[in-house]
Amino acid sequence: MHEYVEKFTEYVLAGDDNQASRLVDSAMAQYTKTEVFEQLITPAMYRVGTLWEENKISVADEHLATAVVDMIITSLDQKEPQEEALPDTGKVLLGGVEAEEHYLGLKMVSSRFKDYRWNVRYLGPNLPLSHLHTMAQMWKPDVIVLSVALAYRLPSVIEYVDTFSKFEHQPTILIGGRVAPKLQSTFSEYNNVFVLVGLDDLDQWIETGKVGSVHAGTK
Amino acid sequence: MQEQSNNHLPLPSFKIDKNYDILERSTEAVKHFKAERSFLAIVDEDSVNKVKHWLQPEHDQMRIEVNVFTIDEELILVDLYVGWISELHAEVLVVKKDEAFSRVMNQLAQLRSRLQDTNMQLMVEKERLEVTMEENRQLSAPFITLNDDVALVPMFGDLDDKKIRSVEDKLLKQIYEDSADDIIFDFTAVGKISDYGMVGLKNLLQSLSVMGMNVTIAGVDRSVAASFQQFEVQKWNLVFQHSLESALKSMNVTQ
Repeated sequence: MHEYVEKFTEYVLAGDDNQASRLVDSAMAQYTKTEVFEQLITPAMYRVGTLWEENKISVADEHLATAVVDMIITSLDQKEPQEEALPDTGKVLLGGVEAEEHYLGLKMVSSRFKDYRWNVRYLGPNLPLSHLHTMAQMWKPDVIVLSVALAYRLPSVIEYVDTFSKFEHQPTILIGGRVAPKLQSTFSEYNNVFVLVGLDDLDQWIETGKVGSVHAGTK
Repeated sequence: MQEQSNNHLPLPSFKIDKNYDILERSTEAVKHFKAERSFLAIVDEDSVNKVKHWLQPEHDQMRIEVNVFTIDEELILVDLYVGWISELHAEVLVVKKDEAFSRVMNQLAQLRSRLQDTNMQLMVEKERLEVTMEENRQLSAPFITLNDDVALVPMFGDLDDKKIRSVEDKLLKQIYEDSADDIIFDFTAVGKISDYGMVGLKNLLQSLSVMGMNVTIAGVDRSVAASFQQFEVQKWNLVFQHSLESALKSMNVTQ
């Protein structure tokens, strides 16, 4: 899959959704969705970030790339037979903390939950606590997923987690995103919080309710 | 406070040394940015590496796009135009990204969030409709006791597996609690029966047969009756009547 990353990055930066989505289709024919997310789309987006750091592209290019990938993830969800959520799986609410504009990770997580036929509500990025709070109290999700890309949002994340931990129905909270590996110690005291380092962790959590000590990212 | 320079420029400008310490700042720079000692202090954490890498004497006459904090702690996207006066000193002009550019980006973000909201509303609406449909399904096979021996279940609408599943439990419970031995299913108001609906019906009829009920199916047309025959209905005490009226007559139920 590694060989696809550079081409894919090129296509999404050019706004060429056709080529990009064709490439994803051929990757999907050989690999699982988690592998495509982890080893193609995520590295490509990190590559976009690096190109910005290297002063080769602008923020406008990043936005275009994000929009193309957003569309591709959505169309991947549509392509698979639309199966309804199973009644005995759980309800999951996904959102980004306030001012956090990175949302592709959340979208990928939401897509995986749909594959497992959970009842999914994806609210998008940049959600004020009050907004998520109202939704979570009304709908009572079994799981709330938060995404954090930037380290200095940590205080917000803690505030959100503390608020949700007080809910009577005791939702499980999953935290993912680029800085997730640095958050593990922060939340080790919380028994209702799991920090997901990658989508492999997510699959493992959905299947077993646990996140093992062997972590993705080392591969 | 350091000496000011480039005060004639309508843009913030800084003179810095190789260690990013600010030596001079223009009037505009004083107005828009905090009086930090290091230039890096006004740069967003995620842009610091970029600045460190590109703000070097070997990269003269550079334009670098970074995020910086204003005096009001607002994070803004700017271009830094950098020129090195010597190996030790550089001039940095800070040019805010074109307003039009930021406006378009914000509009895009708003459009996305509106799509998201619409999507959410549709989903909530869909869930509400599903609840209504389920209620509707539950109502489409009422159980009516005609006398001590006979009960009537008129079925309404198209029959699919969902509908059968919705009514099955309640129906079996009512039949179990009722004294009737004969039960008439009136199919007069039934539309299409899907394949899975047929399988669901078969299971329901099988359960009733095990419970020892005599089942009459009234008001089915020939094609439906034929599909019932596939299930070897003769095993299950199943009788067909072309209309509800004839079914009632055959059981001596009068009005």
